[in-house]
Amino acid sequence: MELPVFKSDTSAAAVVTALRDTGAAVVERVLPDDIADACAAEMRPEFDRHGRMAENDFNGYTTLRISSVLRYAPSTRHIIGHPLALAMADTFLLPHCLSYRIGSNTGIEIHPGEKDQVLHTDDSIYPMRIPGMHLQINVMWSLCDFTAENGGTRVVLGSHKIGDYGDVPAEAVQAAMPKGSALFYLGNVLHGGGANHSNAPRIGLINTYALGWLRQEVNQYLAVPPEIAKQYGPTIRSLLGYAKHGSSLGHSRFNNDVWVWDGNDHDI
Amino acid sequence: MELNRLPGDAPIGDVVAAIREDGAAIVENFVSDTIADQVLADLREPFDSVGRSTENDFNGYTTLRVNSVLDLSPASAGIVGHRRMMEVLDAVLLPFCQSYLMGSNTAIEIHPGEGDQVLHRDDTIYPVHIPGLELQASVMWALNDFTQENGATRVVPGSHRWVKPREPGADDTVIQAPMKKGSALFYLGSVFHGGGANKSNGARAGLINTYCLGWLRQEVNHVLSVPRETAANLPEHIQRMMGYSLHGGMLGYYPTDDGRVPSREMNGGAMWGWQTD
Repeated sequence: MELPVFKSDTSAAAVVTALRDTGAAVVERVLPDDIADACAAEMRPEFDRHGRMAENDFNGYTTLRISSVLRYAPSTRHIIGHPLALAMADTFLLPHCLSYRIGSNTGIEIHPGEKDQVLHTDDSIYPMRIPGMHLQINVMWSLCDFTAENGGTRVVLGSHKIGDYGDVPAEAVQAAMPKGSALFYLGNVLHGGGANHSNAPRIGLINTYALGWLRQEVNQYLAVPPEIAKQYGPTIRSLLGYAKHGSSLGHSRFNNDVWVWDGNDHDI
Repeated sequence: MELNRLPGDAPIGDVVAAIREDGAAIVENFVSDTIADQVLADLREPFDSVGRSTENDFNGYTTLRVNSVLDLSPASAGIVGHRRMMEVLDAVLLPFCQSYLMGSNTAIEIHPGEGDQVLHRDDTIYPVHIPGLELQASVMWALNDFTQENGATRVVPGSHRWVKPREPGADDTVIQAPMKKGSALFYLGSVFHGGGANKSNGARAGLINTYCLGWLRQEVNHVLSVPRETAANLPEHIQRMMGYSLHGGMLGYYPTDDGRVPSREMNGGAMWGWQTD
């Protein structure tokens, strides 16, 4: 099994088919360089200020991590609300919910010397499995070239179809991809960051999207509160969670100015 | 037929067994008259000023409803975070999660002339239904006496065991839950229930609190709906149920002042999140 790789002019349907088959797929050069560079530049101060705060055995000790990038890096709205990402989320999540939300938006910069991250599934934050029901879909965006040497993400193809993946020997393939590419992977696909054997850091942004009736991985109302969220259009505000699921789930008494009351307006 | 009825000092295991049997049970005199009276007094002005804003076919047209009770009645913390109630909820919900959250806190005053509310399940806000897996549980507290005449809650006993989704029919038993002020009616999220018609000449006031599995979205966004200055003065176990906590050490995290995410051992001071810039 090989990691499917598409050019940016691919149809969304082709990516969907590949994702159903292998659980992961790369679409190359989706982002123009100026967007990727603007996001990396806006994330830089936070990497330097708080990037080491999440260090532990799981996240690594020579890797910088920052969460909730919409708080301080507004250009990331172009990535988080990218039509291709939303097309994948629509396809995999809307059969199981009326609307979906961002789980987390995490900048990850793997520095030289970091080892392979342990392989894991992102949707294990939810203690429930219903085969065929996707709880999450996730996208790793490369903000520089990802290579086999500098820590390109490792993915176990087909692992979304393994009933009990606990005991399965996991052979991962690595996603080498040029700057501005998107690695899509389903929430139940085994993956992990790669070791960085190069002499330069590898910077990426991972966005997760989850069914709208599940708790959000990050409490976005605290991480990106209304006074910050109001700078964004209704698509991003809805993704943050400033909209109900259906008619009555998740309503709020205040903050009517930031709340999105219908899903018909798709300006980012 | 009547619902199981237990005294306020009954062993928790007995209450849980009674709830599992019918899907609902009454615990009498579970909170003092002093607290019940104080909560109702605190809610009088909100009931009268905004209580009619949720009127519709489902909620009724002679019934007052007020949300976010924690912000309007400090005394309600003694009900919302009632310790022995939480011991019951621990037994009902913790088999399916590591911690649970508050869904909604809604005060409901049914006035004379109201008809029977349509029977419904509270857990249909979640589009999954797995019989035996309870997504939430609810507790209706009587803030004055509930009687057959004034609209005591109606329950379809055993409906939590219905395997195939269906609506209650003419053959299903519906029983009412009259109870004295300060008593609590527990019912599972999967149990059909509804408010009763009020044929008396007085209003019937109650407070319904729902609690959902900690990996589900909360019915009400308490982080936004309860101002932080109010939340800061609430006990930590209530802050956690509002959402200032993590499920399983990871789910629902948020940045704090120093950039760290709150740990499982976080104290109440961590609830402010990331405030330095």
